[in-house]
Amino acid sequence: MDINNIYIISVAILVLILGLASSNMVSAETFGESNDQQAWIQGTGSTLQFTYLQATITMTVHNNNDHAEFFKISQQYTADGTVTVTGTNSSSIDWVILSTNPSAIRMINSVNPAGDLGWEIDAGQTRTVTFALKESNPPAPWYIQRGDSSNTFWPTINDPGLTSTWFLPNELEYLNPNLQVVKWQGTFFFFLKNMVASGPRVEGLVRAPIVPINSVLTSSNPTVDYIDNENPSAQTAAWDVTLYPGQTKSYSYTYTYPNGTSVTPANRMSASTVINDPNRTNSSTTVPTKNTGVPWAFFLIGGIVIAGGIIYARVLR
Amino acid sequence: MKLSTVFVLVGIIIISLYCLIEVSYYSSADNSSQNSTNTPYIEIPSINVDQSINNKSVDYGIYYDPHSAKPSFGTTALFGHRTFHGSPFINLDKLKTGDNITVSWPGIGNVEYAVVNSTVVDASYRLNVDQGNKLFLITCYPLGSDTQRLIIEANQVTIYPINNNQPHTSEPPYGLFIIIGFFAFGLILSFLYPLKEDQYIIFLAIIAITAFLVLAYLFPIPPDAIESQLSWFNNLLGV
Repeated sequence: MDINNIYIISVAILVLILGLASSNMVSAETFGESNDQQAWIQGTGSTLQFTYLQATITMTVHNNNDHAEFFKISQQYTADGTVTVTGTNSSSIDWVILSTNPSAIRMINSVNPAGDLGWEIDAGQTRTVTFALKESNPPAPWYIQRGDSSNTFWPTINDPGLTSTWFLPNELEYLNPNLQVVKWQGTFFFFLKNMVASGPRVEGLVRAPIVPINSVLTSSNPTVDYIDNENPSAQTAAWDVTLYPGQTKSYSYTYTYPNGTSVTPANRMSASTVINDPNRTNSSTTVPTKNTGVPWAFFLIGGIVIAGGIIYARVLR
Repeated sequence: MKLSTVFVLVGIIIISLYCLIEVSYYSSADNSSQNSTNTPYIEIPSINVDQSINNKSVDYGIYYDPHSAKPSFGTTALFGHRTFHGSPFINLDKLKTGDNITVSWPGIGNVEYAVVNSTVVDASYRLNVDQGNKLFLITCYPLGSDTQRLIIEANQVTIYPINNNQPHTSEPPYGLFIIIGFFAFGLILSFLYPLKEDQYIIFLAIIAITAFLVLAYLFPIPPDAIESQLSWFNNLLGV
């Protein structure tokens, strides 16, 4: 077939497609359909779960009283002999004590005959104790409950941390003013698991599941991407997470009370500046500016190469 | 095949890569279920912007940075491409002080902002998102380059309930138009090509690439994947 005939057929096809496209556009407008593919994502199904929550708490406590005081960690023995920290309501995490150092004593408890665990601190004594815990009611709480509630925010940020007595370091002083918390340090560990076996990867901001108030985040692994100060009493550690189906990642972080050297988030630069606000400090939350342009240079090079080829062909001819 | 024909074919392939970005952008269908009632919108009448906001990537249109606050709850940062990827912020530099910006955010309302400032900063700049009830629109600067960023700052003026009957402009099938435009361009190019014996080669190349673009329209490739390849080429050439 002559190439000119092919061109004529091609142009005819082009006109036909243009006609179809324009009629399609009219019908879309008529029915008010939106061709926006950039819609807000309404995810489906639960995806992420916190697992293997563990905490190791080290406390240095000073007894200001003129007689011995007991520092107890609220817990009770169950029928099978295991020790379980009592949850205040069904939604809280139940914890099992893994270890105590020095070994905790079983304390008299008039309400619960099973008793509590704790340490005796003599008058004027300063004592450092350590205890490790793990969550005992698997499956651990879902990190993202999706599909059954509308989310207007994605990536989803979970609610700030679950709290318990030892996670509010200053609470001990409220409960027993004679016991002074000299130092409190809590190291928390958890796995984040994408429970979906197949499908697209998920990305989002994950905040630490347990955040003690009035404490300073002193270390984390991996390094936190930013510290959320939305709760003014807590420095909430947050990570920018990408998880493929079935993937599990581990996180650990340490808070110290009443003070410590704060960690620097991975994506925070000390040289960040502020528009129109010279008085603002560098500790404010900043975000990097995204790459919002595709350079034209390569496109222009393409055009120049075509033009060069045609000119060369004319000269050649 | 003559050397000039090779040049033309290389140029066609380069241009087709850019077409591929746009075709994929316009045709990308999200695997996640979508609910238009949950989709925020931004409207800037003075530069004819009326577009949905996504929370997935700046490569899918106007992107809300989740590190920033939602409108009326603090400083909101929205990013958009100035070139390609639909170029939602192509005319952002034309905004003037006092221009109105409305962000319709489900669950919050229509939040109106007034432009107060525009700034050009380096690409490494980090935006402070703790500046009160402000809106920042960020795009690349200058046009066709990504070396700097243009930042539009707007102060919140008022907030009022969303009118659910409020229509938003639906987009024409730009992806299809780009394919047709590429095909038409290729036809003209091969028709006018001086070396008649090589016209077939260019014509077949155009047909093949057009077919590939049609495939990309039907089965979108993530635009960020293509762009990263183009960035690699651009970096290689030092452009």
